[in-house]
Amino acid sequence: MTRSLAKRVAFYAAALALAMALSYIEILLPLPIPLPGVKLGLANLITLLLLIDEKPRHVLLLLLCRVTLCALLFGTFISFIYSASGAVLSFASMLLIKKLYPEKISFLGVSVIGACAHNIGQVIAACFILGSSAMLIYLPPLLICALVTGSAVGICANLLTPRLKKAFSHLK
Amino acid sequence: MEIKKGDILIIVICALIAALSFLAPFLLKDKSAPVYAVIEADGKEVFRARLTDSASYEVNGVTVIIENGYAYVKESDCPDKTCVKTGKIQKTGQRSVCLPNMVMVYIEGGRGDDTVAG
Repeated sequence: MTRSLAKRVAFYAAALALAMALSYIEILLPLPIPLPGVKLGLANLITLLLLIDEKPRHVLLLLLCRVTLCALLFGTFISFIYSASGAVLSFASMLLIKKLYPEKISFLGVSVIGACAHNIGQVIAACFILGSSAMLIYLPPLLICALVTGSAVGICANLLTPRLKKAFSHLK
Repeated sequence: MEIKKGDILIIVICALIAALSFLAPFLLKDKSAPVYAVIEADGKEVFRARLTDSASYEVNGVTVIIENGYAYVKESDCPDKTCVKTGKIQKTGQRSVCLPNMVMVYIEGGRGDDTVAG
């Protein structure tokens, strides 16, 4: 971390903008699955890539900024609670699995864990908000979707990393 | 970055958890929790019986039969007979309604009851 503060601010701002753009693209491309809360999770791509060598607390801050701004722009207060709880749980589990097995897994595993944790967090939040366990019914199909979307995003991250490293090597 | 063995392991474990979570409701099903058939007429509960019991009840020209774990409207003097056509109901939350006679039969209790704390 020898970058200057200005460089870091610029880098994080660009990452945040990119994550928000991906969140918006997600809204434009709704999945044809009639489940509440199902989405592609493209913005998680940025979180995954940042987790390579940024400080976790910075990544978490960016993640919360992204969730808050996206809720202000595209969502509602309730949708903010859902995505925030999903995001925090997802971030925590991704960080944990990365710390536990740094050499044994690639982005694919981290992304799948993150996607599943995101849906679990969302459903837990929904249970609290609705004051009933009825939402748990949605968990199994959501987890299946998370497996697919998480794998897709993880494979994207696997393919992107070497290219991004090449492209942005002069920024670091 | 290449896909590693750990990735496959994680996917398999997550898939297993997802598959198990599909089964969980069946495994956790509390057979002792009583399931009731409830009959409401004019907005008030007038009759309630365990779905495992046998009973018949008549109200506002509607005859409701409860037997063999099912409840159904056997006869109604209403013109549309929607409640009769609804047929047998047995799962929590299912209902059979006769709007003209203001009679509603629904299943309550057991698994899936929203009063269970999250």
